[in-house]
Amino acid sequence: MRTEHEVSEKKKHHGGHKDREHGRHGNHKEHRKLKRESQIVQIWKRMIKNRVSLVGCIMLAIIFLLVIFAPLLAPYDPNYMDTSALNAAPSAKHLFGADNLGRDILSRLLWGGRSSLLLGFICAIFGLLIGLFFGSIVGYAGKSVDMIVMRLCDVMSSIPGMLMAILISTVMGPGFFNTILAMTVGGIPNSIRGSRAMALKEREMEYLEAAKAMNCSKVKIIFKHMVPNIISPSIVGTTMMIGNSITGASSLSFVGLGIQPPDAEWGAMLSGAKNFMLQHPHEVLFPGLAILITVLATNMIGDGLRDALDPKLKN
Amino acid sequence: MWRYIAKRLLWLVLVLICAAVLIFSIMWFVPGDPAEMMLSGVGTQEDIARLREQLGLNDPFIVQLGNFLYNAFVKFDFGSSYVYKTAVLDELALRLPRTLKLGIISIALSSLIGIPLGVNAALHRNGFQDQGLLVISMVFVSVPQFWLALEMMLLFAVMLHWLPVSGIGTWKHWIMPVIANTLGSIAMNARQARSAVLETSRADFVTTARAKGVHERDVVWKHMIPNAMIPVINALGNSFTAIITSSIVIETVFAFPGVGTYMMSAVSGRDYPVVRACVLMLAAFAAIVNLGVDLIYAYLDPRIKAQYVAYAAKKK
Amino acid sequence: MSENTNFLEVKDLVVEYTADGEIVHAVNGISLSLKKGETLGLVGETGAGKTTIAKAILKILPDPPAKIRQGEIILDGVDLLKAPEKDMLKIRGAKIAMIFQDPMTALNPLMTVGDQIMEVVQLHNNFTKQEALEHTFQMLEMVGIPRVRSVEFPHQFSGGMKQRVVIAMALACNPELLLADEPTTALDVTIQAQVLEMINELKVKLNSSMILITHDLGVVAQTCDKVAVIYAGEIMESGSKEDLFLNPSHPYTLGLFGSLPKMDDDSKRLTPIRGMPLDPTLDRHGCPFADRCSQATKACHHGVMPNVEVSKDHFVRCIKFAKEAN
Repeated sequence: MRTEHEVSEKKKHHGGHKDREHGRHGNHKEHRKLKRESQIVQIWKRMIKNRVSLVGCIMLAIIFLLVIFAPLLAPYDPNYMDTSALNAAPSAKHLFGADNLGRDILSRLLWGGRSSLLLGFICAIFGLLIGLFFGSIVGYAGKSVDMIVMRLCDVMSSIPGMLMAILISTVMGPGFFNTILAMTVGGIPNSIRGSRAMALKEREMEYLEAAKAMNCSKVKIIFKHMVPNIISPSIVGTTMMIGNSITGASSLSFVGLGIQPPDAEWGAMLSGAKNFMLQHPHEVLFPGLAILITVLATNMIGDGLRDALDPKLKN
Repeated sequence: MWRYIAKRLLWLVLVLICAAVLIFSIMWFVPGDPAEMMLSGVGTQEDIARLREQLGLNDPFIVQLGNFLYNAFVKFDFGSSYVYKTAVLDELALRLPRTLKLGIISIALSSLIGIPLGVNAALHRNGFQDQGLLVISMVFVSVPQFWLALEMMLLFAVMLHWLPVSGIGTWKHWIMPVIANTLGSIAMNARQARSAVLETSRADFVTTARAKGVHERDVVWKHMIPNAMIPVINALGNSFTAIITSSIVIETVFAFPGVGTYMMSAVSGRDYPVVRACVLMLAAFAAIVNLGVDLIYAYLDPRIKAQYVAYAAKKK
Repeated sequence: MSENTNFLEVKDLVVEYTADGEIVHAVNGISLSLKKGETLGLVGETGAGKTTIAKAILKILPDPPAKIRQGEIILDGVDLLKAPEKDMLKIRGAKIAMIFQDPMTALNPLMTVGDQIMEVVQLHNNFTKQEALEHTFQMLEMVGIPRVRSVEFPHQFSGGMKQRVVIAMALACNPELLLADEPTTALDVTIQAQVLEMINELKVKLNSSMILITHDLGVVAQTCDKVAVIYAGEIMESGSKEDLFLNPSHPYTLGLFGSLPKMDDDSKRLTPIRGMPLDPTLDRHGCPFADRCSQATKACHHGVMPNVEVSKDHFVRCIKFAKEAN
């Protein structure tokens, strides 16, 4: 009963109803801001209530702080080679040990986390933007535009995303931006499909009819009315994408593409360490754990967000 | 229905041809000259020039593309490896079955284990099965599979000596690649099945069934589960694609002589024919499995089936 | 069993939901009675607890989150709330059947409509497969669906046709009590009348009792013998249809009638009930309607509201009438 109530409350915040309410109350802008905020605050509160996503948020916040303050926190320069500590096991001097060139693993993890996290976030956000842009246009336009774009997506997605990323990585060569490009292109068909499906659903809604009846231009209908309403469900997928992108980028680096040594990145560190892992298992343990914990945090947040956005699922 | 299947098959071939064009075009832009790489250090400039001519690398793009498509789709010939000089198809005939076997075992295990786990968790919502599954599956969804493979190798092969480190031969060689490939999908399938069952358990028709006096056992097995399985089955196609791609990296970890290792060594060696053939083969199998899943889906769900039948009838 | 004893009696039923640690008071001490062949209309706003009452009678409330806290539901002398699940399985679908609000979602999309009707037929009768099939066909034809359509799936039916299927399913085992939960709300207006008429006819034919849940006073006027007006899980006023329509007494009932357009009245505006329905998570003090009631006094916010019999079998739960009676 309670949840039904909440859902209907939530719907009220969307689209068409809103305009009508504001019309009556006058000072539109202030009112709208208030409502928007309250919705976000509501979702945030619900998410925090969920223990899993709360822990996820805390974990990710800590990881972020560690990575941002890497210059202050890292005990060594990530590329400094301590010849007296080649393959050193974890000790007080090198908390997580050192790699085959005597570089401090903890320092490299902190610095490398910057590329790993950035990669994950940028790829996910690019995916979201591209998906929203094309997906909403295609979904709203329908008919032949939809047909053509979806067939193109079929062709693109016939080459699985990771394979595509490998191919593009090979063409572009290693490097931060090339990796972003490779990962993003590999994910395009799925992003577009996801947003399109939501746009198709949204297209049937009456608030869009209303906008049309008010003589809104198509651009305005799509980007001002429709897109804001498909953003929130897309956010869950995007959060999950962050984790996928971090794993994907690190596997690219691991197989010798993506980001390459001497740049520190978690996957690249694993790639270098795997040759020595029989004798020095700690060298693969810590970078892997770093990936695991980061991806775990984003997935936990994504899970909590989904529950928060769709309270129906809870009971 | 048959008409629809034929249509889908035709479309599949068309998609694969387009994919082949795409692969070829992308590979075209790869920097580096394969002739130079093959003869680096041993051949003179003239040798390299001759080899380029021989490989047809001097032909214009469109001619090379045409040749590739003609050979691949009409003669079913993917040329010879630049590096090993052997026919790519022969090598693939040896390696593809291994990769597919790995993929099929993995998808079978992950659905046979994952789906029941998810259903069980949903039926005991908030019980220890449910909470346990949520926590464990969350970890396994997040763990990078290649790292899991590395750690398993250390533990079971190097430290405990239970399993061979790498390569292929006995059934023991398959255990670690299969596990590394499967754990993530088990977790994924379990989560998917769980939420699908939870979703259906709230459906009105479940209440209808209860109101009819149907025993709770039958409510679950006759009404809830079949409906919940529809989205789960639909997701299996993607699951297979994910497994095939993850197996590329896993194979390189275990030096498992499948398509993945073949492809990755060819990528670094600029061995174009091999890369093209491998990508195309993997894409083809992913597409076929996805088609199969779609057809099963259509067969199981009368709503989708009706759409297809209507679609076919309209087109007649 | 004589015609005069109550066939169904609900006494002091209390149902609560737990959501996010909050307790939602869905049904708060409701008592109802119904004689054989009678139709009782449950009228009230969305969220007043009408559907919960029906589901409680069938004991198919999802637990958790719903819990029946207290009360008795006596059908033919048996307290259903004390009956074991084994007995309930025999009662559901056979003795008591329910027609659901939304025919679009009430049918299993993966089973043919024939199979879904046959399922309930076979559960409660010792028919052979052939007999069950024949009975299924008869039921379909009774609601005006040709038997050849029994092999079709729900998505091949329109909304009105689906509701016919749901009705056929509910009536398949000649239930003695029919719970119709807003059976026409999801349908087009033109179909509503048809479906309602059909339910009524079949009910009379099978001599079933019926509880009709609705928020539509017009539907009540058309079909019911008795009416109970429900607000926030409590019965505000109950009595015969005539009592309620000719002499509505509770301020809430008056409010409901005031929200309806009248043909014989020239007033330009309807009079809506001001305010919003009571937050069901709050603890109860006094009359649940007090906050919205124009005649509320201080006394209305505290204590237990008396249930006053203003005329025979016409009860009003309002302090105003208690004073007048004194």
